[in-house]
Amino acid sequence: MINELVQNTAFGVALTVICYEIGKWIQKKTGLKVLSPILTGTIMIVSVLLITNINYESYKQGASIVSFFIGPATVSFAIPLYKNLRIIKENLLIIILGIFGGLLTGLITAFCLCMIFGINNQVTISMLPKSVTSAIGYVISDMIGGRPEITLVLILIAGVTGYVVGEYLFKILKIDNPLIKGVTLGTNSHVVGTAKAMELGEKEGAMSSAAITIAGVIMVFLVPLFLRIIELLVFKL
Amino acid sequence: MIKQFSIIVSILAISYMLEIGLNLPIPASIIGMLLLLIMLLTKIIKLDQVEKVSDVLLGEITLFILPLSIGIMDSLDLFEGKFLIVFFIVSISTIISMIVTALIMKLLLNKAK
Repeated sequence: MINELVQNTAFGVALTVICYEIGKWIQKKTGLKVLSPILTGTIMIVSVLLITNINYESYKQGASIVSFFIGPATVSFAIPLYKNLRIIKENLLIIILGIFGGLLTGLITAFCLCMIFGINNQVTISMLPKSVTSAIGYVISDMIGGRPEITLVLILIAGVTGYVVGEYLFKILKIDNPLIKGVTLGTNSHVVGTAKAMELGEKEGAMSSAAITIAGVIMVFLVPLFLRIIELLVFKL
Repeated sequence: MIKQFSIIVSILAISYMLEIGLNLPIPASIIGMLLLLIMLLTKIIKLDQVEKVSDVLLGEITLFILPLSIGIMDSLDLFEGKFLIVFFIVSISTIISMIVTALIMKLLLNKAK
């Protein structure tokens, strides 16, 4: 009975938007970055579906309309890059090397730690794109045979880690250059890290936004290549 | 706003054609991003023709991602109960990567001076 009532696209759209707004409100009220609407929203939507016994397929109809906008949003990532082109050009090599070094370190450490702790291949592969922004990360995960939904959760954790440790890390490493701060946060903890970068200053925020885009594009090529090398050197995942 | 959106979504549509037509190994959305950047650089598109809609799209990106994460319900078993270890690995890996990015840039900037 209930599944017939929700056999329309509006249901999925409404449920998603409402839970997102409530999630945003919770994050604002508590002031906790870790309570991202992606976390609270997911819990709310799953709870509603489970309690009302509505099947996932009915929800999916509307959900696909909402998630369609990831494509246009990803195209829009060109804008923060374009806006900061002047500063990027002046320090192009340093920025690219910093981003590349961070991304490669992230891939190697994640892979090695997964091997040490006996994490299975599905989760390991899904973890590789963890440092990039979710819109690009889920595409990469899909491309390399990972589970995009697992990748999304791990992306959130990488983001929150960067947000929490960022400031302390810069103090310990004695870094006060806004360019370095921005690129470090954007490269390794994407949008959530950029929120911290914006708190630190305007230039930090701008560089962090630009770094998200550059890191995302590099990772589209780097992750499949990394997997290829692992296959050649070690074994097939 | 709709006019601005039509530009973005048209670029995306063309990118899908390129991805499939040329059999490119790059996802269409990334091709679209690069196309838009090139068009901005060559002044085919001006910043104010797409800026407003981009701010909205990028500002609410979490909303668009949200439906995709619902699938996690079916994937919880894959973690084999090792949630904390997996989260720990992601955090440690992120911190080490941040240190590397920061130190590489610091070193190179000092050298440049």
